[in-house]
Amino acid sequence: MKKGLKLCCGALAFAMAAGLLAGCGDPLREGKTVVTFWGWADDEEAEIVSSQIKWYNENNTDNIYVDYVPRPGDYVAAVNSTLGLDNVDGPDVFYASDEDFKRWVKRGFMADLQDYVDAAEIDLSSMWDSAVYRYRYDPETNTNNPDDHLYALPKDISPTGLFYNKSVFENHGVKVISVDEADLDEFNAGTKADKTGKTKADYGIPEDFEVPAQGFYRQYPYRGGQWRKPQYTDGKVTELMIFNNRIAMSWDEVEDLSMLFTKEDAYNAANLGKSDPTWGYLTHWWFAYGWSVGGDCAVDTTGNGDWEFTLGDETPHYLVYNEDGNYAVGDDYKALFVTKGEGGQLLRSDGTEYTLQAGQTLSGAMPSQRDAFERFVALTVPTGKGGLGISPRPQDVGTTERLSFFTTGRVAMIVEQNYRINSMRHAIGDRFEWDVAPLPIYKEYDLMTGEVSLEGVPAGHSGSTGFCIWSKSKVKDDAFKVIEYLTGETAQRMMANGGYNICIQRDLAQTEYVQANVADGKAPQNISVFVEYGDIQRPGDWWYMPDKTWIEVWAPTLNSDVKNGDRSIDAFFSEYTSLANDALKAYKG
Amino acid sequence: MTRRMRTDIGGWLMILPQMIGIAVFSLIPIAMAILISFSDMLYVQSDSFAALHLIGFAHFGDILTDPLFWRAVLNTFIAALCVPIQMAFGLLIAVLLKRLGKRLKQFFRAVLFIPYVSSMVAVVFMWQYIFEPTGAINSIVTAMGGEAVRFLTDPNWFMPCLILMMTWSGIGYYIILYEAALTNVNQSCIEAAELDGAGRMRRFFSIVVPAISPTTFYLLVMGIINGLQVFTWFQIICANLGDGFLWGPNNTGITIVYYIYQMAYVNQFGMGGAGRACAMSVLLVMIIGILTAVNFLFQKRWVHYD
Repeated sequence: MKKGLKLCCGALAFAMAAGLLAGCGDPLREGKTVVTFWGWADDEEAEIVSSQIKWYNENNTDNIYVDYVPRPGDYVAAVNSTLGLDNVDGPDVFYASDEDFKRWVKRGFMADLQDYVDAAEIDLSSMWDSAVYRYRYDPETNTNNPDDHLYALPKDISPTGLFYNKSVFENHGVKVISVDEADLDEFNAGTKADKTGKTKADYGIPEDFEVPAQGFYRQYPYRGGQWRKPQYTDGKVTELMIFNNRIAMSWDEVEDLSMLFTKEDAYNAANLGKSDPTWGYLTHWWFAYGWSVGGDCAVDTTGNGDWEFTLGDETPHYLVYNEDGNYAVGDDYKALFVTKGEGGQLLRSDGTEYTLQAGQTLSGAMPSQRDAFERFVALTVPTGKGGLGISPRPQDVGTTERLSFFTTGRVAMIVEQNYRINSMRHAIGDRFEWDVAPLPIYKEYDLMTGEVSLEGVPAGHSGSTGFCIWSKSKVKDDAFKVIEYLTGETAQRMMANGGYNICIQRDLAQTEYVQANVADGKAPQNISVFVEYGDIQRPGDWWYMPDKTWIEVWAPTLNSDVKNGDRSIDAFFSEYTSLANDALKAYKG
Repeated sequence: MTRRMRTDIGGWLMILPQMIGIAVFSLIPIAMAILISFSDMLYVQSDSFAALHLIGFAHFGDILTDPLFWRAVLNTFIAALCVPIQMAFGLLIAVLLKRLGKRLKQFFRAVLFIPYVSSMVAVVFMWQYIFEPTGAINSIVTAMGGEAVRFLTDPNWFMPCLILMMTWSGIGYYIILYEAALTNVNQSCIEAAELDGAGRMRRFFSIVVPAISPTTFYLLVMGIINGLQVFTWFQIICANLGDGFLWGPNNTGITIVYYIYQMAYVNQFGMGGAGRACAMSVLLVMIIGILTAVNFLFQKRWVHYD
């Protein structure tokens, strides 16, 4: 008994001593300035960030120790409730998503980084322009002009792309190739294989057939007319259908392809839970449609924060082309679209007149934002209600995670962000083959030549997280050195090789990130699509204002009655346009 | 110092900690909320009070002309219907439990009380699964050849579903209190009525119901006070509905406190911020105060303490 008691006391004393040792902490910390760094992360990302921090703590010559505090669950709430207070333990460096960014700048949480960036001579041109741009802000005027100050530096970027179920495509007789437009002639001549190493003959494409520069080709296409079901003989399709994952489909093509997979009785409950697709296509966001033709849901009409709700704008836009044939890009890194005023003068979105520069030309009239919106809404509206019914309606999705419609095989294509790739890999496993392709864009073809006669711009939204410094940090200079490291080559290389999010350094993303992700043949092999979108895609509408009140005015009805086909688009705009404009005015002043 | 004074000081010292607690955590925040309600403050943080700018009753005027506020009031009162439903079913179940044997009674009491003590988040997820388009109820509906019902995204179904969830979750509390009240009903009165020829229903409504009326009154007052502050259910469910469903389908998910929360902590810039949120809180206190006063005023007519 006595011996047992002694043993217990000994064990207790050892445990207490060990507890004391735990308080000693990291020896690297001693004598250094401690920079506390808050971030959210799942296990996989936390591992990458921890390795970045470990490297810095062991190698930096700035006499800085970074204390990384991952806050997976309560991050936004913790920032909201802590960073406005004095005399609290807060972070020196912290994350802000582009969704929270403006709100937190307006609340004074963030230090202005412009002077630091200028003094450190950081090469912003090596980073994705669209990512850097979204962290410029003037909280007084709610503008994002090129001369507005930076309140964060981007950590990563997560563009959207079109995920497709390759197995289902092939089961329906669609040949899936991977040929860049520039390589098509050689591919057609049979002298060059596609990106998967297969030649035209390997795919069984007739030698005399010229594969056109289309995202989806079929012999009997649907272009707003009657859709024709392909003929199958002995289980093999008799019609030639080719999907090229290197070229964006047009709106017509994605509809055509989606109809191939959509069951005629898509809403029949018996289809639920089956692995063969019920619907062809699922996209939750209208951005790729509207932005592709120069539209938007809200526009700053003066450049001074006078926003107007334009989701139903019926004005056609014209794309400005430079002499070299590429489209012109504005200061905001968006493709330059103009409208025509009453006197025929060209007008930019902020109402100022635009004069074409030498060599510049205008495209033909694009469909209006309203036209684009109608095409988007028609995807979910059932055929019996005037739509196409090729996407699950909001009432079919309900509270189910959208991604699961793709991972369980219930939709053949889905628009999702790049950061979902890991979830997809885990959820899909070996059950089917899948990959990614560019988002559909607006295209018109010349009926005689088959050439593209009018084309919108590649568009879509990307997410991003930025590094910020707390305005009440007592070690701002040191905190910025940490940010400089985290956005610099060494840390970003670790991120690129971690293969998780797309790193902010353009060159590393184009090389090491892609290589790390396609190694061992893992899906998606065409991941460079996301990297190509790095500079093109922009933040979603939740970034336009410091909060989402104005979106909540109209989005619930859009995401229920309108997309279900229970309310007309006319009724929607007549009810919500003025309400949305009132909500937007509330942000002014 | 007289003996009386010493006793008084002793008494004050004993309640001092409690008084400090009430002052720090109740009275001062209430006073601050009233002050903020007259200001244009967007958010509460350390530097907010230094720049406090008073704007009189402007927020109160804006709120009273805000259609969303009146929608929130309507939704809150509809959601509060779960209180009389819980009371009615709580009493019914308590009466039924009274007839059961000891073991069976204990079993059912535990089963019925579990939802009340369960994590609300877990309960919400469970109900969400039940109501999903591919969830438990719809699986039955579709197996029988019907079309799946969008319970949580259809404005006609959203509130009934919420009332069902809240009733299920809170009914255990009502059952326990009613059971205790029924135990204390004077049996001799019931027996006397029985001897006088009163039937079962007559005995229940003329003797039992008046006898438990203090409990009913307590449950009604507390139920209304809590019911008008309903928040968590709506906040969790609307957040889970995803983009664009902040207020539930067609604004059927907005309640007064949920609106206040959004204004004060989430969408300060577009909704008026902390100032308007505090003004709305003051109005809510007034609504609750009036209803409670009315309850107390009319209790003399139906509550029997004998």
